[in-house]
Formats: sequence, structure tokens, C-alpha cells
Amino acid sequence: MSFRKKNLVITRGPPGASSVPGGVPSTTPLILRGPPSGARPSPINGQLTTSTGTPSLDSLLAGHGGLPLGCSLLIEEPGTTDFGGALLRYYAAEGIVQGHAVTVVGFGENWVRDLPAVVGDAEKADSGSGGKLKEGERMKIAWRYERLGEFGSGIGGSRAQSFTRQDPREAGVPDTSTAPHAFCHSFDLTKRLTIPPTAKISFIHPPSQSLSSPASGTSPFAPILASLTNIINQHHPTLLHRIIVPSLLSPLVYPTSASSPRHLLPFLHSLRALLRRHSSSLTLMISLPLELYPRDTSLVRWAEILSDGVLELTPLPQLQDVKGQDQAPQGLVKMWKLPVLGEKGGGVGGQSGEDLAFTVTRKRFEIKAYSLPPMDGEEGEYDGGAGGGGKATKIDIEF
Amino acid sequence: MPPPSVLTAYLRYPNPKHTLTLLTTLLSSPSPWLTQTLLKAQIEDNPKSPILFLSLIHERGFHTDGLRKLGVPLQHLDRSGKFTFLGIEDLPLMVGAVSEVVMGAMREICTGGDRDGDGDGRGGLLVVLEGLDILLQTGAGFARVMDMVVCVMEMAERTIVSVNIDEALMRDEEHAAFVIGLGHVARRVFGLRGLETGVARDVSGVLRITAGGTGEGDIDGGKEVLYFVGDGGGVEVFERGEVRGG
Repeated sequence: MSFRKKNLVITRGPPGASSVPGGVPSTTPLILRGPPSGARPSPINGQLTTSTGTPSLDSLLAGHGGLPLGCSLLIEEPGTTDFGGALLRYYAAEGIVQGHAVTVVGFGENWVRDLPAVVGDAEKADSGSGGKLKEGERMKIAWRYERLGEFGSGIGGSRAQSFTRQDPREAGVPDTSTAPHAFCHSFDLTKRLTIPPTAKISFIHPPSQSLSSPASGTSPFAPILASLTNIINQHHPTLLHRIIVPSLLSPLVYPTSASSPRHLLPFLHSLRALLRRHSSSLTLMISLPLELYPRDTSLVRWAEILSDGVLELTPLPQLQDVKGQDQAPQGLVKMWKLPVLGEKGGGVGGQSGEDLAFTVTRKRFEIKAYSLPPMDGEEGEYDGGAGGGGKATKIDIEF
Repeated sequence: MPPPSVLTAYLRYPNPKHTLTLLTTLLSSPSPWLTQTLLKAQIEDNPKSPILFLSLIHERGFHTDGLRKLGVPLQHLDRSGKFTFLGIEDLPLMVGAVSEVVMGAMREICTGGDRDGDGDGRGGLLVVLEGLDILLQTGAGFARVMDMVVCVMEMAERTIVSVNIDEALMRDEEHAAFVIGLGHVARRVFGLRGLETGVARDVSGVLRITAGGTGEGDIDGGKEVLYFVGDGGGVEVFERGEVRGG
């Protein structure tokens, strides 16, 4: 359909004015009306996606450049660290900044008080850091190699980022779909987000331990689901809504009966049904500590099957005296399932071929290709860099 | 997209009478594309037969999109009331409720077929069951879920069941019993798994086709092909070592 429309405009346009300027103004109002704030269509299938608040995670999600609406992301983490919690906080903060409705399950207002403060537009910040250098080089480097350079900095479908940056240049007009509202912001973990009074944040309190323990037959999740459905029904159907479930099954929050598959799986199943029913507004992010429930139990495996995307963060032991400590990765990232593509049958595709690692700094949570640091006393630093660049090149060609 | 020609010979049965086709899937190699391909082949063979599609994992839009992309005339099937879909939104995760809904839907389809009065309206009911194995985890009990499948199999002419066989799940006794039990009554088993040699950019996984417990040995020793699911969801099936056109 979209092809046909474009054709019509082009043929009707005056012959003097070439096809592009004729076509663009008439199609932009359509784009403007389309995505709500903080959403943009996926370059793959046009499904609306919203940012997770972490640009490098957005670019990992099977080329969609964000979390498709109606999808869920399960973040697993072994050990006692809470890097997954950082991802969840970015996701919540991004939602608040964009004016989305945010619902936190199992935690109270304190959880929201710790959200990182917004610093600016992540895409602009990205180009700002290397921008001055690139500005000078842009004239010398052929466009295709210049793009490869960008890919060297990130990993996976950095394609999505380059998409948004290229659009304005290609179209010759400001990219109206993303210009007024940034898709993804960057945050500062050391500062606190000031929450505007208009923010639509709601909390669903954890099931009380004392009440549910005698009646183990009833699901501790039933009241959560009921209030969640209530909240969803109160919101306007076009308002984007982020549901956050931090530390699912943590014994601090949930009673022991919650970890029974009889209760947990119907809960996750109903969440999935809710997501599908409201597939134009809801997204969901869950973090699940694996310490008590390892990945090779059927409970966790079913939780993974019922999620759209699954990633695991495995912290690395931190070495004390490594130079450039702030650049050393803090852990490995494994993508076990990707939204949409994974459901269709592609599994994790080629993406799991790369080893991925994450780095949390004051300014950002970044996921990039992992390569072992060069041995001391070797001049391997350049080799490492080149190797990383080469990998990214392959991805680019594949796309 | 041209049909995956390597598969064609294995998708059809000469004598479909209460046959069961089993699809086994892993978290890293999901089966929807195969379910849809099988369904398409069956619809082409028996355009008149009604279809009941039950999924505890996916919603209607997900499968209808995939089928439409394969070129299945869904609107036509929908209009004639021959395509019934019960998805994640319609079914609670309770074995009693699920089996009631399924049996009700099947009865309705069978009697509805009579009203059509086109002779063979009653025959050829095709049932697809996806993700039933999750019921085992919710305390349904192996016997009840298995009973349900056998019941469906007897009422329907052809049944396609897909189950998850991740190692983590197969450690569960009931789950393993269910999968192996289905393998025994199946006529053909389609197993999906990843590549043993690691991850490749142009191969999503391996599809192994073997005869099930009631198969008549029409596939000697099984058949293995590779498949690739593209970004847009298009699927390519090919032999090992086959040169594929760009």
C-alpha cells in the first residue's frame, strides 16, 4: 500500500519539481500523526517500538531499534549483583521522561526515587562525543567506510542508530518523526531524576507474606494481576505504558508460594495475554535473579518461553589494578531470545555468535563486543581494536 | 516466496486417517514457521477441511500474519467459518478449561460442517495444538493432558502437536513422558534444533524428519535439512552443502 501511495504522489507532482521534494511534504503529516511520543516504527516490519532507555540494548533487539510494543523482555542475572536493576531503571526513567505511564510491580515509591537523571538526547550525545572529529573527516572518507567506522563503536544491529542519524540527511528535511521528541535519552546514574508531578506512575504492592502463607492454594499473583488490569483499563488506550517487575521471585518481596510453577506460570501467561491484547501500548520488562532458580530448571525455561526477549547478564570478577578500569567490561551479555524474530523461528540468529559484554559507567549502560584484553607488554592494543572493527563489518554486510 | 521444495515430499500424507504429526522445538529454534508451513501444505491438500488452531503461547495475529505471508487464503477460510483460532487471550492456563474449550470448539465445527451440506463437510478436521505441554507444569497431570490429545486425535482426522524439548524441561518426568508418549502415537516427527557446529549467520538450525511410532517406515532413517529464517520471517529450507542463490 505504501508503495502505491508514493507512486501516486510522484506522478501527480509537477514535472519541474523532482520527485523527492514533491513527495516528502505530503507524506510527513502521516508520519507525524502515527507514532506517539517515544515510539518509532521498526525498520524491519514497521511495528512501533519504544526505547529501553539503553541505546546499545535497543540496537541489539533484532534490528528493530527498540522494544516492539506488546513485547516483553526478561533480564536474568546470576549472582548477587543487580545490573539488571540498572537496565530496569533506565527503562523506567525513559518512560517517565517520555510521558509514558509507568507501573512498578512489587516495589513502592522508593524504587522510583533512585531513578537516574536525564542528561540529554542519547543520539545527539553519541554523535557529540565523536562528532567533532567526524565533522572534519566526513569530507575525506567515502560514505560507506564512514558508516563502518560508526559500527566499530557499537555492536549488533547498530544499524538502528545509523538509521535515525541518516534519515534526515537522506530525506533532505528534518526527520519530523524523531525531531520533536528524542527516541532515547541518556542518563546520569549519580544524579536523581526529578519526577514531574504529572508523571503517571503507579505501584502495585507486593503480596503480603503473612496473608498468603496459610492459604497456599490461592495464587499470590492474583491481586497483582487484578490491579494491573485495573490500571491498564484506566489509561487511555493510546498512552504508552511500561510495566516493570523488578526482582521477580526475590524472597524479599514475594512469598515462597510464588515460585511454584502453578502460580508463576499462569501469572506470566496472563501477562503475555495482556501484552498481546494491548499490543499497541504495553511493554514489559522483568528482572529475574537466577541465584535461587537457575536457568536449567523447567520453571525458568517456561518463563523464558513466555517472554519475547531474554537476555542474561553474567558479572565478571573485577580485577583491581587494570589500567582503564572504567572501560573494562563488568560482565557478559547473552541473548537467549530476541523479540519478534525469535518468535517466528529465527532463534537468536547470528547475533549470539558474538561475545557481548556490558559496561556500566556513571553515564551509561553500554553493551558491546567482548574481546579479551591484550596481554601486558604486547603491542596488541591496536590488534584488539581492529579485530572488533572487523567483526562489526561482517554484521554490517549481513544486514 | 517459493515453497520450501526440499520439504514438500514430507509434508503430505497419502492416507490421512487420525494421524498425528509431532513437532519438537527448543528455545533457540522455535517452531512457528514449521507449524505454518505444515498447515499450509495441509490446506492445499484439503481445501475443504475445517481447521482448529489452538495455541497457549501465541495470539491470533501472530499466526494469521505468518500464514498470510505464506499465501494461505485466510480471509476466504475465515468467511466460510472453516478456520477457528483459540489463542493465548482466549485460554486460561488450566487443563479443565482448555479441554472444555477445545472439545466444545471441535463439536461445533463438526456439526457446523453438516449444515454446509457439501457432502464431505464433516470429514477432514485438522487440529493444531501448540504449547499444550505448559499445562503439565501447572499441576494438570500427565494423564489428563495426554487424554486430551488422544481425544482430539480421535475426533480429528489430522492433528499437529508442537512441544518444547529443551533439556531443562525434559528433566521433568511428566514432561518427558508426554513428549515420548506423543512420539509413539505420532506418524511423523519434525525435530528442530540448532547447529552443532556453532552459530552461523545464514543458517538458523537443523530440521530432522523421522518416522514416529506409528509411521509406516516411508522415511528410511529420517531426513535432515537446514533452514534459515530471515529478518522478515521468510523461511528457506535447503540440503546440507547446497549452493543457495543469493
